[in-house]
Amino acid sequence: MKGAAKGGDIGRAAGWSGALLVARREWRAALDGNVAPAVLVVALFASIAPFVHGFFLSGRAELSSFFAPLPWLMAAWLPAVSMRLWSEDLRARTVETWRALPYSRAQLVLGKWLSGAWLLALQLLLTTPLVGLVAVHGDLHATQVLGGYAGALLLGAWMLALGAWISSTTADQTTAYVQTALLVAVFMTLGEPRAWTILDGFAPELLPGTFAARHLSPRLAYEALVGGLFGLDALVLFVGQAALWLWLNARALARDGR
Amino acid sequence: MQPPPFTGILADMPNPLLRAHGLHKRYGAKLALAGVSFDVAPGEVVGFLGANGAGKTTTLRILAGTLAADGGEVEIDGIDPGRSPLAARARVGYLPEHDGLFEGMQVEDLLRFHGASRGLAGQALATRVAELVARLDLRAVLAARVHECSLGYRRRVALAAALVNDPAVLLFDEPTHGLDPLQIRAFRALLRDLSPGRAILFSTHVLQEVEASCNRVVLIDEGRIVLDAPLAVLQAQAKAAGSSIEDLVVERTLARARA
Repeated sequence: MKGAAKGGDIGRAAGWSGALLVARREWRAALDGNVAPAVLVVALFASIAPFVHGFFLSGRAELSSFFAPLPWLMAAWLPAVSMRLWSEDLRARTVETWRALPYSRAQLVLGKWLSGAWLLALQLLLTTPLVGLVAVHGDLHATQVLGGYAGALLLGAWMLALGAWISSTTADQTTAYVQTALLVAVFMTLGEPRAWTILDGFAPELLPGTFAARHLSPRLAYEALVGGLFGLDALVLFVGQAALWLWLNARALARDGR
Repeated sequence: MQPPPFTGILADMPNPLLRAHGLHKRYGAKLALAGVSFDVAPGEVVGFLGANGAGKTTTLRILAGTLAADGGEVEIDGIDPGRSPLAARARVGYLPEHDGLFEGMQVEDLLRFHGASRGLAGQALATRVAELVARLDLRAVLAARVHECSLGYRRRVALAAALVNDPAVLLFDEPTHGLDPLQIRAFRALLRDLSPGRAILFSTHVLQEVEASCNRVVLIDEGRIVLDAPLAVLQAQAKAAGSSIEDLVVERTLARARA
């Protein structure tokens, strides 16, 4: 056989098909490993525990007991998903294999992030029987269900994007986990009323705490969605910041390589 | 006085598949490459010799597109990787020094993934994987995960991954490392079969490997090309001087060190 012919997309998986190939490989690698499945099961039980507790012990069938603590649970388990996205490749030096394959940095970054988002979506999907329980035994509000799941998906995808960037900066997965979890906690805390009040106190004329809570922390945007308030500003915050983290991830990959 | 490198013979080579011109690379204070230039034409199998730290791996990584040079130009099959990096990479089969395999993947899945990444699909992908499995004798480990394979098998799996889309330019970094004598023989036969129409550059410390497989030798020392000549010319020179190619290579390296 002769070598590949010349041409833009000949000899490579172009566009979305390339990103999906990367995502499928990473998805299978995550499920083949020990960490992701274990974390998935633990996260599933931890996320439904408050609801189950309220349902069986207090007789309350409310989805708010599921959605309220969910951001903090995701802050603990999603960094365990994102930590391996690049750190593992940096440790095993397979990052050079990725660089040698005809993928663009955008395809690699999107593909890896997408594989984490699929795990998140799977975990959220496995919690949907709770909706059935509330429909039968409680007072179900469709907007709360849609808003809650949309908020959880957007917030989780935001955390994964942040974690993917952090993992592209270190070959040590533990470091990636700790740094991501800390950063997520900081961003979430910025949306805490006590935190923004304290920050506002440092510069009352500028109100930095209020600004951070509204425009930097994803917490208020998540809570708005869970409350059934679908606003464009929430979408802009989640998508804009996630895009920034993914861009930083691509920049980190560009170091030394092409 | 330092002897001049043999660069004139192939400098005006028509339509080389691989062209490196004036490559520079620095790691902090250390100058890794100081103006590396050479071409590889279709049909050439070039042995890239040099001591540890001479600049072989850095050169190969730059040519494979996994490391950016600080200066200089590369051309792969007429394509400038700076302008079209993906099109250039699609034409290169690269076997890194550490094999760069995804440890947890099954060998068959890994080969299929590399093929799909390089645009193969369906029956064409299945046929190509089957060809490589037969050619590199990988049937025994097809269902095994990479981390379960012996060093020899790992090397051959990595080789299969590099060859999966039948690229025009092949870059091998220490390809025979970890292979037993029989496997090395099989690798030499593979190189002979692959060489028509392709540019092959492989790095090694082993001079016998170059004599057995290559038709040209490029020697790098401290980031500079100090020898670039057809093997036949070197053999004739060694014979005339009553020495060996090894003596010539050592002489060039020492001459550079003295200079």
